[in-house]
Amino acid sequence: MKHFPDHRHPRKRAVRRPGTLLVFALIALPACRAWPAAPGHPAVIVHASAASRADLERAVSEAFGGKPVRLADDALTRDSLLVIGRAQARDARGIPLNGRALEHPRHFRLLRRGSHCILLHVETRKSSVLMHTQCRVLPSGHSHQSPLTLKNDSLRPGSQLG
Amino acid sequence: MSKLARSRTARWVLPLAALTALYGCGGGGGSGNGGTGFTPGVFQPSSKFQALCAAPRSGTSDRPGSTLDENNWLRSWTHELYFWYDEVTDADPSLTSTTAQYFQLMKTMQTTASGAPKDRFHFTYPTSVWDALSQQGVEASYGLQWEIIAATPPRSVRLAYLEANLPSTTASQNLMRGDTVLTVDGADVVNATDQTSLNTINAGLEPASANETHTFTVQDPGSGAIRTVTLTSVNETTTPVLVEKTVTGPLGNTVGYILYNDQIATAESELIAAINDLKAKGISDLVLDLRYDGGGLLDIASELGYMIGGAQTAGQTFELQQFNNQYSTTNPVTKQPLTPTLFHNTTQGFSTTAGQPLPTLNLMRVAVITGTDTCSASESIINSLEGVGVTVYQIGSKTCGKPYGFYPQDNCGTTYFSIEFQGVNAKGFGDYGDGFSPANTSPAAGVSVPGCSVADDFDHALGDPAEDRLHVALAYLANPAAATCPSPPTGTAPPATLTQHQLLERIFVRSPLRQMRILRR
Repeated sequence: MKHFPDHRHPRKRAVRRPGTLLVFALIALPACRAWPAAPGHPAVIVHASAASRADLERAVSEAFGGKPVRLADDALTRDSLLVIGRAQARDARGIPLNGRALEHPRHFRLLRRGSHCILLHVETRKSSVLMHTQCRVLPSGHSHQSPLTLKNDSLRPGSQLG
Repeated sequence: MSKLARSRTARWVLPLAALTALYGCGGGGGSGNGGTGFTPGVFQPSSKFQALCAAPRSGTSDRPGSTLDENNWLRSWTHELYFWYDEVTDADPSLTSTTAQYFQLMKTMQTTASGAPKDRFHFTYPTSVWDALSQQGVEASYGLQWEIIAATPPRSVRLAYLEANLPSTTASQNLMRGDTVLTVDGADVVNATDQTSLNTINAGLEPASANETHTFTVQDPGSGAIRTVTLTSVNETTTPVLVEKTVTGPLGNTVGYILYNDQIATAESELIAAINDLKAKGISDLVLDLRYDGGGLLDIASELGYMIGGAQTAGQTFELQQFNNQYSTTNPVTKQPLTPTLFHNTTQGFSTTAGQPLPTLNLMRVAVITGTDTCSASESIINSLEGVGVTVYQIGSKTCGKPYGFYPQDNCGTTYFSIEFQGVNAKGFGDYGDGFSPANTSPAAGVSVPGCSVADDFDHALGDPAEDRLHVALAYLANPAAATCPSPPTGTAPPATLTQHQLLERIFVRSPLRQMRILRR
């Protein structure tokens, strides 16, 4: 049976397998800036810039096989949760084509771990480091800090209803 | 032969010739890897023709084929899944030179009781555009929504509502609901007839991307002052629940008001916050404003239904999908058993933690404000609440009439939208293809719902108790048994200069991805 990596006890795992972790990090970082599932604290972007926006757009796009994605300029600056779905397509009257949508969007969480800002793809548990982004940990009690339990049936071909 | 006889003969010969052309020339359908001869009424599985393309895309599963293969795929796919497949004329796939032409034949040509085409939702989209991704609620926009009252001269374009903290709401612009657009980048919105002007107007009203700057001349609704504003588009994050407040009803009771514009993922947390707030304030009634809500995520519509109806909805069907008569027990696309979407009493995890109990107002009645843009999942809120015995009062105008849905299907780079199912409520009702209308609508149209027909009032802010539709909703809730509808304070009626055709052309504008243009000569 395949298991997702354990996010809850990172230190324990690092202590048990420090060599493995170090080797993986050395290999993965230069190649694709991706780390295995990363723990951290929910965070928001500070000092958003063109570089940080490009950083975020690239990370989200990579999660969808390189598809272009439209993000708000202030994405992840007020909330640690980023919800990504099909771009809203509308008919000539401005009414959504998918007026009866059963498709569930994907979710990304910005986490801060040490000095790094990490984007976690909630459904796949994959994460990547945002190299050109500064972020700060959200104060406790922020409305969207709790972990998400999400359906994992989004963006399958043919799953969108109109 | 007499003239009359010749005429009678012609009446038969011409259709026969047409039928011969359509059916008799079959047999030449073989082409590409999957082509077969055309035999009327005999259908190969669509999978046999799938991805056989006249112009295969590199890096995809497309294989070399022909236009005929693509038409054959459309013919079989339509026969398998189209909701009214048995009303489609079985046309020879070899007789149209493009798939676009053939697709237009693959639908019912019948009409509804009102005389409107039964299928008004048959279209295609480039797959590359349909598959584009976006942060939920983000579109290139000025942070406002236009409404086109008349699309042809003399045109009328007004501002429907504004998002908060965006270019259009900055103090220097000071735009407001009801502003009338007179010019866009110098082009005359009201009277222009040349294509260049129309292109300029359309491009300005609908920015295709962020950082576009356009100049507008607008007339304010109150003072009539005319002024010039310059707007630059941004990748805007919309607020689905734009207004939530309480107002005092005619009987002195506290009534909740929610302006709900977009059924997207971020609406889940906003709706929960709104309902919690209204519950804490002890409202006795709710006015749900769906006039600009074109639908979206059905699960969120279901959540909202529960948050309104509470115990009355528990364990009940919100909506059941019904497919064509070849599939009575199984969803033909997902292959799963057909089971209804229930009224959700817990969060579904769109923008909140999944599985948390939802708040509810436990209301036995609700007033819903509607317009022609109230569509699909938005209409399902009305239909599904009515289906479990929650009384719905409708204030405004006829809804769009879309009880249908699709599983959009890509073939050869085009995504096809053919109606595949109808959503029905707990009573099994879903026949509102002509929309829902307030009971006093004249002439009668669609499914009649208790309530009052009231025109949109652009002279007041949304949520202002003096706004005609909200005013009438509050008065109606105070006395729903009254013999006549309460009069709106301003008596706003559609402008007398508009023809019926123009009224039908009222268009709500907010689409950077729209394929068709909105203003015409």
